[in-house]
Amino acid sequence: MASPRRLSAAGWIGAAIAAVVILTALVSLVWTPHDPTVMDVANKLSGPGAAHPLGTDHFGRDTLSQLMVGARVSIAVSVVAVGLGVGLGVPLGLLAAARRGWIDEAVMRFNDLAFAFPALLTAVLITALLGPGAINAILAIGLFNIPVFARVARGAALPLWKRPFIQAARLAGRGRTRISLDHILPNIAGTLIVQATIQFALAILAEAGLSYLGLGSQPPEVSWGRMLNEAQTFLFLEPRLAVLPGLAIVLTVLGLNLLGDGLRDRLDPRLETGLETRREGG
Amino acid sequence: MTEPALLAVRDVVRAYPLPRRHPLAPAGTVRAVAGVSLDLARGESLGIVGESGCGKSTLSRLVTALEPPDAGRVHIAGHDPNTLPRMALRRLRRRVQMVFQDPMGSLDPRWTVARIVAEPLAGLAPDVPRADRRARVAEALAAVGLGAEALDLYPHQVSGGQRQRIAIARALVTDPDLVVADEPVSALDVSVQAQVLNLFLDLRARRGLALLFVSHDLDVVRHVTERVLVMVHGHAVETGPTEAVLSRPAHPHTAALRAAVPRIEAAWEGRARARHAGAPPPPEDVRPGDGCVYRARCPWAVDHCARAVPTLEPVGPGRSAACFRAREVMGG
Repeated sequence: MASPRRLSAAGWIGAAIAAVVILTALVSLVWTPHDPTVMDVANKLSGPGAAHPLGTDHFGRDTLSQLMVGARVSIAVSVVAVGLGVGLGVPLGLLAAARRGWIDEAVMRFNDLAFAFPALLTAVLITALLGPGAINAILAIGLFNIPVFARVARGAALPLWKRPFIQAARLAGRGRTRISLDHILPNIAGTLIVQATIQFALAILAEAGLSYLGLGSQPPEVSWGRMLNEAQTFLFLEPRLAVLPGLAIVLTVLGLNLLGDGLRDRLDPRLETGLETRREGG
Repeated sequence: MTEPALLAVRDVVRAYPLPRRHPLAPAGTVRAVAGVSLDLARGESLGIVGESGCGKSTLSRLVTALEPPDAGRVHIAGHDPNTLPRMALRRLRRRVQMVFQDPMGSLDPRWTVARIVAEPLAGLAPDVPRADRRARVAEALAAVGLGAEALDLYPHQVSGGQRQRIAIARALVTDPDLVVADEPVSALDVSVQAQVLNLFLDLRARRGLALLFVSHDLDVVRHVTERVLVMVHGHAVETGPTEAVLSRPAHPHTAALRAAVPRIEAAWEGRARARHAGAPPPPEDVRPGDGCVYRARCPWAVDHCARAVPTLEPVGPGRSAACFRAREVMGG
């Protein structure tokens, strides 16, 4: 490999934040300061202290433990939702680019249809119809990731199909499916990773929004959105309870966006071919 | 029965749609290749020359069945690749491979050299066991003068000339009878061009390879090919032994191409007359059917050229040209 281009400073900050959130979620699997669902009414709404580093809520549940488990829920929901989008959207986009014609038209018009609906509103509609809960929130968020990835994959694949190395692969007897998997996919992976990072941030935001509206995770499950919901009653009495999960959401989304931008600069194959062409042109 | 010709192309036509001038305008087409025929025997080499946009690259894509012709036929060893079932087409493709113009673009930047060169084996030669592939690949690389140390490199880690050698090794790995090379050296430094051209000559001599060599560069074609076919606006206007055609053109366009080669030495006789009158017209202005396609730019054009379409007529041993005044062009 040529010397790898460095991730920008902002990209590193994003990566660090993402790493902290993921680490927190992993730690919460084996250890939290307290059980986040156990109530301790005697210590309700207590401020930060030795026993509860970030205080407790109106039921006396430990806020730090809730934030840690909330990170896990946010990540789990977003990973599955984005995975759904990648798993169905990317093959659709590759298929559209490989086949063109009516298949391409069908996929893209279906995409336009999906884009015509405001994503979060429709997610609200879906969870309202199917009933609230984490699984349905995943489905609702994942559904709207499918057209995003279909479009990005198709858009990145189309110009590649005109490149000589794809023509050469056709002369080498390779079918369209084989070319899509062996040549197209590795060459658009950078673009897809960048998009996945950004969609991941959006999914965390969407999950928090749905939970806040009471359509996502249900009590006694813990999530950042639910914490915000429950904190609004005490907004003036104990702003800490709303500010902490709010900060967690903002920082995570910001971190993922910074990481996405940093990765775009480093991985985007379009920038890479630009460099190669310039080198060749000399 | 005698063995069918390695490559026989008969009156192939390939048209592309033109952008409409306004939404209600009739959809026009441009015939990039407008009825070209050619033959190539085993071990023979044919150069296709012409200016940019004359259809020479389209012709090479028709010959390799990357695109089907709109009319006419392509036969490779007696088979029409455009009507063959998929498996038979794969067998046929082992015998016809192609080298592209831009070696960077024709090699997948994310594949190693070993995988790139092995791809035609994987796709076309399922009978070659996987274990033998690496040996075949090393053999093909050796044939183009590259050692086994290149196997695990990526395309951007080697020089432009080596990249084109890799592309040639890839074309050779299925042991084809015919290699179609579309401007294979025009993206290379002049110093490297000669090495790659000599490689083509060497491979022809050693392997009995037939070569269809597409180029705009007359010197290159003269160096590599025995016969030449000159194209203008999708039509073949002159064909014959390379040396004879290029030293004494029978078609005004060949003469103009020759005159356009920059030279340090003094101008040839009649050079001024051989030059093009102006640039090639935009494709939509070249209409078939009414006279010679070249007459608008031809310094030899007479009234008759607007009334009748010249066809390829014999003008010498093994030579023919599509010009009413071919004798005069050769004489002057």
